[in-house]
Amino acid sequence: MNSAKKTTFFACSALVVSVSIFLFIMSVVPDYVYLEHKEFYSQDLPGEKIFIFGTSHVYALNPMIITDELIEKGYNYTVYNLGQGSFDAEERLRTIDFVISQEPKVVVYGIAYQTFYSHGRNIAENPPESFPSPTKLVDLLSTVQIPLNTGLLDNPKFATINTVNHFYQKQTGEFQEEPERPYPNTPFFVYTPYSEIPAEQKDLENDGKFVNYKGHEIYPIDKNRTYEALKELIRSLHEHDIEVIIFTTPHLKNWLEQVPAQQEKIFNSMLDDLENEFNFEVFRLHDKYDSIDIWTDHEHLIDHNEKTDFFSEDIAKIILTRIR
Amino acid sequence: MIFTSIDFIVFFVFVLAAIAIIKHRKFQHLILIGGSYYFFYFSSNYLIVLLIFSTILDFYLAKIIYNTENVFRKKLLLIISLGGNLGLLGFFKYSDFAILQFNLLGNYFDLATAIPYYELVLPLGISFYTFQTISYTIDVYRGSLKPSKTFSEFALFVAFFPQLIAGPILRAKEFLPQLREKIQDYESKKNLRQIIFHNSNVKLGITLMAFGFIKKMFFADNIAPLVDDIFFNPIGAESFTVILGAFAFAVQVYGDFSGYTDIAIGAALILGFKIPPNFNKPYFAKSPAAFWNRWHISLSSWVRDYLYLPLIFKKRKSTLSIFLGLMLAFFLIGLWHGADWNFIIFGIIQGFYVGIYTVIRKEVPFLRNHFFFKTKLGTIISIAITQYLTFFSFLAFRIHDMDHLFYSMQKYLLIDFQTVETIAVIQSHKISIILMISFMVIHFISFKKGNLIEKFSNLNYFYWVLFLVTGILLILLLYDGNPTDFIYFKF
Repeated sequence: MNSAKKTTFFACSALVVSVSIFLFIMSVVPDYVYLEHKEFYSQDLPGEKIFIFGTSHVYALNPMIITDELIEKGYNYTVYNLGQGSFDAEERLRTIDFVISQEPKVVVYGIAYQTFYSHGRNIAENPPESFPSPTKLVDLLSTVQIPLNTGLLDNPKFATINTVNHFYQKQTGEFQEEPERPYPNTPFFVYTPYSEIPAEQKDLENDGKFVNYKGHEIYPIDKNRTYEALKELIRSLHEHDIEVIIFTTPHLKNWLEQVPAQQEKIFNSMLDDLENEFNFEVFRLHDKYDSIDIWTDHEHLIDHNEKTDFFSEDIAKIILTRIR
Repeated sequence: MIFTSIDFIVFFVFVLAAIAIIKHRKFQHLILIGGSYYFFYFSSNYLIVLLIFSTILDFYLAKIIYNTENVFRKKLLLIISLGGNLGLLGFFKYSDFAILQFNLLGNYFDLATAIPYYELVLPLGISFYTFQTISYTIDVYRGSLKPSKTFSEFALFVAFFPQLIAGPILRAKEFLPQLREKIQDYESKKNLRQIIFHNSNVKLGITLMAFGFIKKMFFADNIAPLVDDIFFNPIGAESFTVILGAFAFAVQVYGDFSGYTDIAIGAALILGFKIPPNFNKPYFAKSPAAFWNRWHISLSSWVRDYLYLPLIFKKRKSTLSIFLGLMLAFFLIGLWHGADWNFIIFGIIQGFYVGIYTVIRKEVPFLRNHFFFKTKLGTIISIAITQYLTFFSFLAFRIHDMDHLFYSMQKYLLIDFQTVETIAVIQSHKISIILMISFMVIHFISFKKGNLIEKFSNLNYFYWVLFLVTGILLILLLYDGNPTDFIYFKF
């Protein structure tokens, strides 16, 4: 064989072998997060259900308080707080079929600026396509369904990190098979004692100001893949007659005042876009609560503490406006 | 079309296959030209007309310059070429910046008028291909290069896809002879050698591309979240956090840009074309001047040959002229990177470093040959100081907000010795930190042991395949599903 052809053959073989190994790893690596959700959604959850989605920003929502408020008003629903730390809309989309299979009446989703952060991704601006544009293979390939661990191929890094973390926690004894939950019906929260204690004012301050704004860039609507995932999630739920309520999660007001104007503009444009497309109201709670003794940090209300029961009560009221 | 996308892989394989099948040299080069224009059109759409305009302008102007005896006419034509190319670059890249400054000045003097912005998208690669065509015209003007006989030859030089978007900035003197390799007679119509895939080029080219992909997708893209977290709003950050961010950004930008260059050079090599390297272990440079002989070599040498040397030639014995020439050259290098004050500050800082260094070397000659700088300790100290100062200037490269920039610079230089936040940042970005350290170690090994890429390409096939499989797996396992652009695509 001609040497150049031989080299090409070996290079192609390397590509095939590595991709095969990669697909094999993705198919056998336990997708712990996915499995955790699958296990929960496989249960027989009786009665009418309401699911709450979000990240750690919704930890302070006590589903029992919300359930009681609804029952008091004559609505016999069981509320589940399915919030999970750093679990964004793209991750939720991976488990959407499970969610739909449970036929919840309402899905309540808490979002924030952090939901749409770029996390260091660098996306160049492309010119408007005045001439016909060639088809992008990435768009074509995204329509191909590979029967592997659902969604892991969308973000292999997530799978790798989860597997490594899981292994590390098992080795160090940190892993808990049945971790303590802060409330009933919070299958994905892990109880942590410190999160029920308000932070001291000095911990929320830096150089005389409250916590300095730190964050990442938020890409606008047409470039923000997490935002696109959120909309796809809402569409899927609507297709199955599941009501969707979107609210913005509470933040320390002083922190909000430091959000760059451009970010605020993009975030507000997302909220307006959601309202226009889906013809519903987005409930803006992000600057609603200003007392100082209810925060564990600038973006998390204290949980497992009656001082923040009002948050659950407010969400209950919002749900009532929709289900009446 | 970004290199790290499946579109590029398929495109490249298709071009190679087409060239391998079609052996007639005329059609091979047409495939390359067509492929290069398709490559550009994929990402730039209608802005391809700018590339075509620049190509047509300089092809014909250079021909006329070459055939003209009249010195005044030569100069005038050169000025038209420069005006055309720099006008394009200036309009698309700097017009909104100029308008912003004008409006700010107007506000300062309470003038009610405000000019609306054009809000132009920066055409991909414009900073690179305009400089490339300018160098061609100047070389023809100087008499050091014969112009291309055919438009297709020149078009391929300008649009050659491996280096089109983000360099290296090719010199016609280096590239055109490769195209003309088999021209014996200048009047011959057979103006391109047949492209033959030599095994050594293919293996080295693939190895280079693999290194490039690993540097970019495995290292740079996974260090980016750490850099972004620190510099999105560094106000209130500790000194060690800022320093960590600067070091991390230095690794990120080097991995990103040199990774791109490796892919470009590797792709060109597979096609049989040698592109000069753009980096030579810059983080082991012992002085600011040495740094720019090792970092973005194609740009620094372009500025040296076409701007700095002509500028100071007549006054090269004057220390002040040298210093001012360097300041101007680096001011323009900074401005070339982007239409923003932070890039200008970056250029000015680097100009100051190189200027002061050059002046000291000239005025204090005993330091140049002092034995201390030849010792190991002297070398280490020289490298440490040079890189610490270089990474300081990288703050200006990375941070666009002036308040954030000045805060970071202050914290970088006046260390507060606080560690609480820094430890928290390290703990929350373990992967980025591990990759950063790993990259530095590998880079050091490469510096000590010589050219790692050549060593890997000379491995027997078993180990070579093992290297490729490992590299591809590492990339895939830490890939977050979103191909990100190269940093230098923004320039």
